[in-house]
Amino acid sequence: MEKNEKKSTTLEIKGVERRTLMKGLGCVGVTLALGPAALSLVPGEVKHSKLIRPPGGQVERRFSSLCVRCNRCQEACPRHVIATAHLGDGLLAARTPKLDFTLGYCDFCMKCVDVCPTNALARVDKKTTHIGIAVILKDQCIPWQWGGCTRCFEKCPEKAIRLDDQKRPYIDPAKCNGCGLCEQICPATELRSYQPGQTRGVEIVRLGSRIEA
Amino acid sequence: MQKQTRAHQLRTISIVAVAALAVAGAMKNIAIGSLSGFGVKGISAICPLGYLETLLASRLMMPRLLLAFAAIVISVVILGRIFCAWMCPIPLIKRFLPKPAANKPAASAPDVAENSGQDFSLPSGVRLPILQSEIRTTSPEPTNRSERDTPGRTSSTGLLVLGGTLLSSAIFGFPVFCLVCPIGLTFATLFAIIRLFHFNEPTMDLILFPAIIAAELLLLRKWCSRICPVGALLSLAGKLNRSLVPTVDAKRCLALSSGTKCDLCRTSCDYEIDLKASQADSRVNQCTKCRECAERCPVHAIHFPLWKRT
Repeated sequence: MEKNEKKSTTLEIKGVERRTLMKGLGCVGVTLALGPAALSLVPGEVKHSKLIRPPGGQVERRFSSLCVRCNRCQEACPRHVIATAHLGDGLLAARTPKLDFTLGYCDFCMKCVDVCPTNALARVDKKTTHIGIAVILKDQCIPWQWGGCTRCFEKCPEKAIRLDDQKRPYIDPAKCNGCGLCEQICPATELRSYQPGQTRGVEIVRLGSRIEA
Repeated sequence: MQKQTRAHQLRTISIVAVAALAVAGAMKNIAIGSLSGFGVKGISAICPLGYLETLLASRLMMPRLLLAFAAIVISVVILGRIFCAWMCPIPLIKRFLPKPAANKPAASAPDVAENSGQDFSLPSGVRLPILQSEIRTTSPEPTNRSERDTPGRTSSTGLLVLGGTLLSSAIFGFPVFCLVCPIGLTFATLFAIIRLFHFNEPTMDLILFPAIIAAELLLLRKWCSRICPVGALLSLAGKLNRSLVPTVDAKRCLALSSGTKCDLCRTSCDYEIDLKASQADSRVNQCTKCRECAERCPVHAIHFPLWKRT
């Protein structure tokens, strides 16, 4: 400290003292380091995010460049399917919206898109856009284990779930838009409550993030 | 402990009202948003720093938000940095954090009477609304500090943080400061509490967000005046502000008229703006119109005229 102050007379730049300058440069350094730090805390986060975003937020790099974490989409959602990502999802993802299909499903009402100030979310056609894709988890799915349940098949609004000859559901990837109604209503966790975990018999995953189980 | 001024209480009410509005919006699904981005239906404005960050990160112009950004800049030109004192939750939070231990031991503090050269005396006919002892006890500290910390320097670090943040956002492609912004984290904590009760969703964020805020404000005590890039951005626009600029009546001011070592306006200011200094001091653009100086001034020499005469 004292050394710095002695030198300060010779190293003044536009009236900024050396000590102040060092502090300032430290601040700049920290803000610059924050970027890669956030990216590296969860490696490959932007490329391989597992979070399902509301409509129009599917391209992760575009989405994360625009989302200002204002919470408006979540508040606007009439079906409460939009939840908040936590710090556990990574520093970069924290506070951004993610879809939680245990709470609701997306009916593409576009209310979240209308309130999004930065257009991080965008209007999409529910016939051509996939916000995610359903995957049947055969270990959890009741008909794949014993048979009998056809609930997702009956309720799917896009008729994207079909039954094979033994009445076991499978997904038509061309029709599934990832609305998540199947995940919301799947009774696997209720009927098979001795099974550990929260996973239901069908789950929405990001497009291309996992090969169908 | 100083008595709370009326402006102080009004500010508290104002800040709580802003937070309450956001909480009500979240609970009733009106989608008002938070200070990061707020609006009604399709009309929206976002934090000016958030706008610049997303602009650089995404390289999209977003004309609708450019208008909102311009509106915010114009409001700062008209009203100054009122956001920082009347809306931002951080000054309120700071009050609940433990104060730093007195960093100057009593032995090294110079004696007031010895140092001031002149005894504290009041012009006849002036009645003091506060205790004279309060003035005495607050005066020695700033006389020490003013030797090395001359006005005009404190804002530079905030501007450097602002520059670093924008550069970082442009390079890495996402709004960088938003990740650690204590304003955003404050509202995130409120929203997390709502979700805890609404959806029975307990998360570590409920502990971690307040911890991050506390760490920032405790490690960097002068967060608002020296670090906060939002404040630095607003003070840039504040350079054009000519209304509600605090002005000292030199005839009434104890320091200017009788040479008394009164420094209450400066010590009561979060930004240590010295109103008594000459016009060369341009730091008044950082004024948040908190009115603390005007209310603390023992002789009511400070007022906020609608238009500053030059």
